[in-house]
Amino acid sequence: MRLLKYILSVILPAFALSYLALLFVNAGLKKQQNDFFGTFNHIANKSDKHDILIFGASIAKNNINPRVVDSVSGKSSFNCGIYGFGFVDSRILLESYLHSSHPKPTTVVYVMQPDWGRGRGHEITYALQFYPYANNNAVYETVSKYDDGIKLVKHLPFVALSKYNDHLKYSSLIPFVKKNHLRTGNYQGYEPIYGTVMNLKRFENATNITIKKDSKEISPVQQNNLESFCKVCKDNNIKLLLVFPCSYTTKIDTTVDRSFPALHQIVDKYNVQVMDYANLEMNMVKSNFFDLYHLNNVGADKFSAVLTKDILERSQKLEVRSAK
Amino acid sequence: MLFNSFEFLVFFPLVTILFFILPHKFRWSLLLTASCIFYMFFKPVYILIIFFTIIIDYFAGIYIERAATPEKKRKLLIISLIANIGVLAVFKYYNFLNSNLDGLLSVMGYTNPIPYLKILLPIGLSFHTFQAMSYTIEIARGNQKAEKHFGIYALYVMFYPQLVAGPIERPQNMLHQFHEKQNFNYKLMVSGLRLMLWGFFKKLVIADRISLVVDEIYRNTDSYSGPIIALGCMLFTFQIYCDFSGYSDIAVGSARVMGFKLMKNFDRPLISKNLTEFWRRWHISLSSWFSDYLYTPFVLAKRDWGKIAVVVGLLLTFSISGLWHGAGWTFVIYGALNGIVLVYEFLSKKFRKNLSKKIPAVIYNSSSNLLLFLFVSFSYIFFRSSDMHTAISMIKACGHHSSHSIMEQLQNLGLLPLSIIFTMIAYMHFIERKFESGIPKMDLQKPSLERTFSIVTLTLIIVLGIFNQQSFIYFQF
Repeated sequence: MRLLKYILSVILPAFALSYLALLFVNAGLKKQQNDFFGTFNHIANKSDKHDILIFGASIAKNNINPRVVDSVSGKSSFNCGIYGFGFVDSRILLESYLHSSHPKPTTVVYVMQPDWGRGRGHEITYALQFYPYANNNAVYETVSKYDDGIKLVKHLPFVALSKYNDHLKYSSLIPFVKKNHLRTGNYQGYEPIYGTVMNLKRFENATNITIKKDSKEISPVQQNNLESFCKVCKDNNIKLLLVFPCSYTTKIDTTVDRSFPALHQIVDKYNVQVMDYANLEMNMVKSNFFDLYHLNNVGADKFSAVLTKDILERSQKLEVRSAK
Repeated sequence: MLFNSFEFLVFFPLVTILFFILPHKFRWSLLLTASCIFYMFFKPVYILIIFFTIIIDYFAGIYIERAATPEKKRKLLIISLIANIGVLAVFKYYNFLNSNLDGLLSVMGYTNPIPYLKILLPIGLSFHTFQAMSYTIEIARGNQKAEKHFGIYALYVMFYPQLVAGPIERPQNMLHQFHEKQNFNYKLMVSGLRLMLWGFFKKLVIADRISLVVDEIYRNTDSYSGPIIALGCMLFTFQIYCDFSGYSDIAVGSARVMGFKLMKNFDRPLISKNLTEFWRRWHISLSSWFSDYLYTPFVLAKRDWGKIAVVVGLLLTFSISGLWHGAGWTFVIYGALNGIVLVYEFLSKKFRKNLSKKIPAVIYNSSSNLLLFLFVSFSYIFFRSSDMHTAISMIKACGHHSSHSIMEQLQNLGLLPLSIIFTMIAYMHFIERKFESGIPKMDLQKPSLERTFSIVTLTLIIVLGIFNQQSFIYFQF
């Protein structure tokens, strides 16, 4: 009995202190404006109206500038791209957006990875990043299907911090430190990259980016993940565009089909449009690229303008068709 | 089973409760079963290797004791040692020796016909083999009676807290404890738990957190400049100290909870002023094993050589000690480097004593401590590197320049995690210095302070611990 009393007298205050630390860190997270937390804070807590939402991994975050999209289209857009994110993570973001006080977007752009069909074989990329938002129902419902850790975080909040270690890289977690400001050029989730590494040997030697035939097969997991993303858009009556973005090439080859034959089934089923930018002239200009797949700020602005014009054209055609 | 695993969180209280519930005569079988389960969590089949050495040494012990003449005792001891070293040779050193033969033959233009073994090194092999060897040696020396109870002897080799990474115990310290009845003792239990808590803190908060930084630096040597590489090497010294001494604290603590007393394995080695002192404070159970069974007998046998006996003894002992850690030239060099510096310290004793009188004590002591720390960190480059090529690249990288500023490189490693690491190292240093009599005895000094320590340490583990079940570095040996 005495031992039990001793153990409790140590454990209970330690749990209470850990919980206080968790509140402290969460307060810091909510001040983030950059990276994942910045994006998620905007999605979950703001009520701005965005007509166009952009999803995907780094090639979404770095390649599409909402400032250009907005000025060309006259609409409001937001870049929800997060480094390393796949279909499931993006779906969680989209669902959280739809569950928050934002009005529904009209268009969702999903920027596809070059090897999206094979993917990484797992369903959720960074479950850990969602832990601080375990109390958000949209987040919890989906993440808990793939990851048990979030259940622990939700029900035993005092142990949650042990799961946050990665996030401690962000000094802004400490709330009394001046909240982090957006870095130069960041705008509505977009993060520009400056300069280029295309003069490095390994990039100079790269001739043409083609997708090997064997990579055209879609893994069942990835097919399922893509379908679930498409379904959310369809259920909410949102137009979904799957975009195959620019990648550096030395020659334009119109025979390359990056849309994967198996993709057509999904496209037909969910009424999704595919846009392929493998053959843009700007893909042959090194100074547009940071590396083979990532545009720098100059390239991103050019590509954003091209993409927005295409989006507008397609919606006009659709409007005409539906009017007829 | 890892101490820092969910399984151990269930295993440990269960075994402890059952231990105190069961009558004394059944306790050895409970502990032996628990130890088998503990070991079999790693790779079940390797338990057969332990059984093999247990059977050999159990009978060797009895026959050595019964042997009528010292000559016969010696022969039996040699048979037992060959069996133990043979197990080590096959499982740990066979492929290493074969690869060296490979290299040698290829230089001579031949191909090596001997095949490599495709086996994993059994966890903690060097630890339990050395513990088993100390048993037969002590019997042959007449310091210990042979254990007649097979189960108790098996438990001596397999006792789960120290089975996979020590402390390497002596039969005189352990065997009688398994025969004695351990009663529930509140004070012992609390002090054991407290020591375990401290061990978990060192492992989960400091060692595993540092490993994120050190692994990143070792993986991407090209991306970092010399000062950052050097920082990584120095951090590794703290990592290995916290990893290994953390393990030892958990081992000693978990044994203490059940009333068993294991030997102290670390005594704040990083505050040492010279390497001789360092090895008296670092991995004490191994240092004393080598001292008792290799170095001292060698020096005594060759005492007519004078100082040369000590020099040869040190170089031999530390080269073998290096090889004990791992089958690779990096470990041999790690050991030999330590041996060379110890030889220097032995030969320059008088000179250093005179020097210490001429320089103010504070300056002499702190510069000695700093020099020792730098040397230890340097020698650990060989310890940490997977091969000689990596070790040499790391040393060369200490002169690297980078296009990024030091601050940018630190930012890449994470300024906040680095600050946490340094703060936690300072906390560890403060606590270990404050309670020099030892963490377990701190309640004798001030009970309220002890409770505050436990609460703060547990909170730090919960908040800053890394729970990815990272293995202990010394398990591989």
